[in-house]
Amino acid sequence: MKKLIAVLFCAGYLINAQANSTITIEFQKDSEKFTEGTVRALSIYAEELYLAKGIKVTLQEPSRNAEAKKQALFYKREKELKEFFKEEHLNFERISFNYEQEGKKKAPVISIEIVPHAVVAEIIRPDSTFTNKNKIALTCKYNDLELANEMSVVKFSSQEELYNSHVSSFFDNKIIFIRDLFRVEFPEGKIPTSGVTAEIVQGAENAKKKFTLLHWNNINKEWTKIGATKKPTKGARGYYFSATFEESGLYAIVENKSTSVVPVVAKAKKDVAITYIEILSTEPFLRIEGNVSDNQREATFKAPKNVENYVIRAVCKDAQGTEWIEETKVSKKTIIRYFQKSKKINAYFNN
Amino acid sequence: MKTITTTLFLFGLLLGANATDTPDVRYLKFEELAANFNTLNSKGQMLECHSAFDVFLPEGKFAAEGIDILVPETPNVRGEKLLFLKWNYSEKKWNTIKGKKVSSKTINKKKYHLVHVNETGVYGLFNDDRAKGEIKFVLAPSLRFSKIEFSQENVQVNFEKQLFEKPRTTEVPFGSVSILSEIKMDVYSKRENKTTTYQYRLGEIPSSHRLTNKNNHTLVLITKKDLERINRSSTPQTPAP
Repeated sequence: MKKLIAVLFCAGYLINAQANSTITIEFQKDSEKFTEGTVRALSIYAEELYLAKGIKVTLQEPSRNAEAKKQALFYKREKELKEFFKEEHLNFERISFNYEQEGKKKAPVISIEIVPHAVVAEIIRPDSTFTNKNKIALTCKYNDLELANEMSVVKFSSQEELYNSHVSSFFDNKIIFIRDLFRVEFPEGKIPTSGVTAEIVQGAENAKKKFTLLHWNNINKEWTKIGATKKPTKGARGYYFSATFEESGLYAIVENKSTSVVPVVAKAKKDVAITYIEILSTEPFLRIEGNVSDNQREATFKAPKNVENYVIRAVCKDAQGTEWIEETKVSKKTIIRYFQKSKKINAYFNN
Repeated sequence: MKTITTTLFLFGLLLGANATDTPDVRYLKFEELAANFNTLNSKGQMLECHSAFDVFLPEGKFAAEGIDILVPETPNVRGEKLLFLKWNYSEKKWNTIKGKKVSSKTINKKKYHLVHVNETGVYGLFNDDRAKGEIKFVLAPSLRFSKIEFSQENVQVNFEKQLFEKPRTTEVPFGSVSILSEIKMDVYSKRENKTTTYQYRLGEIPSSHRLTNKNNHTLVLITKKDLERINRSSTPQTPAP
């Protein structure tokens, strides 16, 4: 019995080995022409290819950032192979094309495998990774490649840009520290089928910190969490946070830490009504909208305790309908002094 | 030609039927709310309006089953408690509707208040926090109130009262008054035997004539000089009949 199993196993192995013929397609240097060896191999396997139940073609595709010349040569070679299949009248319904990211060591650029079973005629493409105009590494599905290539990911760097973005530093009833803020725009209002993942560089000091990606909802004026909170991963040039963008808009990478807060009260002078108020700080970037009281004479905030300087910016109005903006500086000293005294800070406007 | 006319007529009828078969929900802007409705509950207490909407439900399926209305929650406000009320045209008050509550729903991570409506009418979501305090207006001795209207846009409150007994003082049941509150009043002058309408913002009355205590009770003293100044800054009006 044991012998019988061994014989059957060996026979099966041999059949399998015979059935899975692999042809490595080699090309002449800098040309799409097959080498003599490849031409010979293809003529030997021509009948087998014709009768094969399934053919799997594996192609190592150059990345989007590869030289144009190299890319052009690859697509010429790919075309040449397909022409060969057409000339040999091979049934394309039995061929699958599996595109792999270039880089597998010792793997041939193009190889053909004859398999003893039927295959689904399909084109399998890996996620494409490339660097965009802003030098940000992007990964996306092949279908989204064109969209990802045209999309813009602009990182806000100046305080002015941050303020003008009108986003809040308040999320889930907590104050958040925005480390990176981006404006992502897909062309012509299009959206990707599966999202585009950008690798956002983080400093080594942030390697052990956890970050969350948030998307700004411009209608509800609030943040929405995207994906899970995670640590940056180590890459070739440092640490990266993977942010997946599924639609245009403002995105923020925020540090996942809680901060102690102090209540702040801003009071307007007599005969002035507050119609809007916000608290701002430059380092770290903070912008929190205050709650204006019903009588519009004062506003309350929850501000982080350990921030050096704030600016309270308010839109004021008088009874004649004149509107203006007032700014009041509030230092940490003032806050602590008032906090210790009355647990409240009176940030009066300049008279 | 007759066939074409008949077809067009039927098509028109179908279009017409389709138009009225669809429920319609329209948000009321504050100007519209203030012009047509007050914001008092059945006890005469002032309520702050979160949002108001005019609902039309055609006969048939929609009237039988009703519709759900989603109103976005105020961002970053936790535990927002709201009352769902219906405007009673005959009593000119917002009444509670038996068995109707405000629930919440999250769609695509966005939070909404959800209310169910199965009758045509005007509905409103109001903050479940009755306004405290009041504002009392006192006129100069020879002047009398015949009507007062008070509205404050930031909290969406509106009050209107006809004063047949022509008193010298009148109260509005709202304490958190802003200098931007709008007051419209018909004032009868005994001496001139004439009624004039004055419209102004509270802040136009000098702060020395506006006194607020800790309980949010504000006293506003209106002198003839104030009314003359208001008259100069705007075109005086005669009250609508």
